[in-house]
Amino acid sequence: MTPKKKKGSGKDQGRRRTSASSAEPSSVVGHRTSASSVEPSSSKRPKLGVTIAGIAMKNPVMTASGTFGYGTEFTRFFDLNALGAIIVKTVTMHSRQGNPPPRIVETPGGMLNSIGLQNVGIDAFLRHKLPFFRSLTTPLLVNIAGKSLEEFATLSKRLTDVEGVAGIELNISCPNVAGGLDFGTDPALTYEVVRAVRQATSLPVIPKLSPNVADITVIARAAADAGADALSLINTIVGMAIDVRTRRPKLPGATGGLSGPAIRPIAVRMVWEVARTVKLPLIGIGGIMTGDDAIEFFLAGASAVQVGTASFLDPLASVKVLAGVEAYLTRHGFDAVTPLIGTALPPHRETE
Amino acid sequence: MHAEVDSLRRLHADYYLQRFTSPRLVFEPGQFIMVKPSGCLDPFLPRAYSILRVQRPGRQATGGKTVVEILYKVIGKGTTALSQLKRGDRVDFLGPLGNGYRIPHSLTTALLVAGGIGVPPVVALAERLARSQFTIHGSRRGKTGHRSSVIGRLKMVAFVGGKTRHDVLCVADLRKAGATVHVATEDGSVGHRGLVTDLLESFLRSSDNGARTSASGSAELTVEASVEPSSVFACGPHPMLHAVARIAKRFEIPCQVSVEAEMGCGFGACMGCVIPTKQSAVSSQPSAEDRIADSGQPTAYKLCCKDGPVFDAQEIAW
Repeated sequence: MTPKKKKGSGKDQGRRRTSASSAEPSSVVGHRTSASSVEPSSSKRPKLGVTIAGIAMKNPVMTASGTFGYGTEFTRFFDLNALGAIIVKTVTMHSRQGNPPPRIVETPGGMLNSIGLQNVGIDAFLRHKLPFFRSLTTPLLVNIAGKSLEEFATLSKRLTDVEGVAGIELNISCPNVAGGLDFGTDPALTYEVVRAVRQATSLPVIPKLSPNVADITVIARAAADAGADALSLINTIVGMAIDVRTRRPKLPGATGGLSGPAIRPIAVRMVWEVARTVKLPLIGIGGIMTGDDAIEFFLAGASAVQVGTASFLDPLASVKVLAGVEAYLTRHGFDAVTPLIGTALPPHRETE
Repeated sequence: MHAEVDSLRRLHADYYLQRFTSPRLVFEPGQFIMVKPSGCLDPFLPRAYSILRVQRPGRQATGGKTVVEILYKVIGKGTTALSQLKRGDRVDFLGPLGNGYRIPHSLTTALLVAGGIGVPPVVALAERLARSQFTIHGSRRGKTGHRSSVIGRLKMVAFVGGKTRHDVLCVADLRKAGATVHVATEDGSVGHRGLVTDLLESFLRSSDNGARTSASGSAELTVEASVEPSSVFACGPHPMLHAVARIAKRFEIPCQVSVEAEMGCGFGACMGCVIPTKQSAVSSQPSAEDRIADSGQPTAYKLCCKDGPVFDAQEIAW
């Protein structure tokens, strides 16, 4: 019932190359290209469970860091136990006020944000925010950001062997703080930070990759080589909006991170590229608003997804995405989500 | 969560009164809803609107639903999109959200200050106070020695300001709720020519003098003339609220302001709508290592949506 409590389970030597599925190895399970309206063979509900980086999840839908507060903001809207995993706002060594307002600018199909990692700091997080998650059956991944290798390592150590923490997501891709992007845009630094964390903790380590690079597969490979257990991608894309009346940038820091459905094609492309490069399970993030959006990521090679900005528009977005995923699987005759992973067919060619 | 457009009425200029049929809703004056046309990607984010009024089922045939009323001025993408909807159109609808005005138990005089399109929560408060128009404002010993409450009528004085007479809204609603209404416009097209805060200040100055005179002239406490158990409730543009806060502080009157900030979600998840507050007033937020730019005093950010939008005026780092 509560797999997250059993911290040791599935965490043997083989953990670092954990397959995406707990039920079956991630071999290519036949292309079930039930093209058009195949009626569900039975009314049996598909199995939604996945195991990512050794963490057993009820389903492949998580909440993206920075879009789900500390979880409690959502309890008035739905039962958080419905989620596959929860990832909370980035935690840093010390509390941070974040950036001055305005922090959000709307763009067509998306938004730019420049929150600046406002958070309570690791001490207050462990004391005040973490206890709530112990009451849930849904595992918690803690997203951390350090200013140095040492900070990343220290934060990881602080979270190790703490009840209620199932894994660590590394924010090496925040565009809104000084140096926030460095660890995620230089493959040598990516390798170093992932290795530092890998050596500091026994918890599953999941770097969150930045799209603000020429070739994301280089960064992905560096993270994999350094011992990452899975990869989350993508974080926001650096963007900018200018107020034509005042002729000034709309955000005080000029630039911000673009999120929302506007970036989804970029995210799908990057998941697809990385899936062909590294063997690690991938967690797809970027503008997922519906179940079909999530399916796109599974087809591209993601083993799970995170719902982010959509939760701002509708606090129920994550559970609606989950319902949509289940409906798709049922409609197309899949008995689980895992057979779908990475099975996007080759592009259609006119002459064949 | 969805609601449907029940009606849309253009008042004048760019002001619209819009009603939504929503799932049953109970609200506190000052609370807001997040609304945008359903399925719309541009505008992408919902917008926050103060609730003006909620009609309960029963008063009207609403089929177990409530009719929620908002008043807004078309200024950008979000309000434009909303003003183009028709009856029956679906909207994404979330609320009520945030904290409304807190009504002190001993309140005898409510000083309501509204600027421009900041008027809806103030009207909502006036209508709420009108419904609970009696208040306990003192006590005296009866013959038996038991304390018995003195019940009196709550007094409401409203100050409504706008740039022109077109920007002065809901005066009739406030009068209907029982408030004495004073109006100011910047161009003098109606009421006092000047700012609404001029009116508040001169009212307080005369009340202050009146209270002192009566206190020295007679031993009997005349509640009418006293501003003592009164409170200021304000909503309007930021500079107006700042001025109201200064005046309230000078006259030592409690003051609550409903502030505005661009919101992403409306319920505390996105952390976009921060308001600088005085750190001393902040409960247990540990001090941050990095201080806010262009602000010398120690401040802490609070979320307009979750911690507000109504704040104690003295809490805000103006």
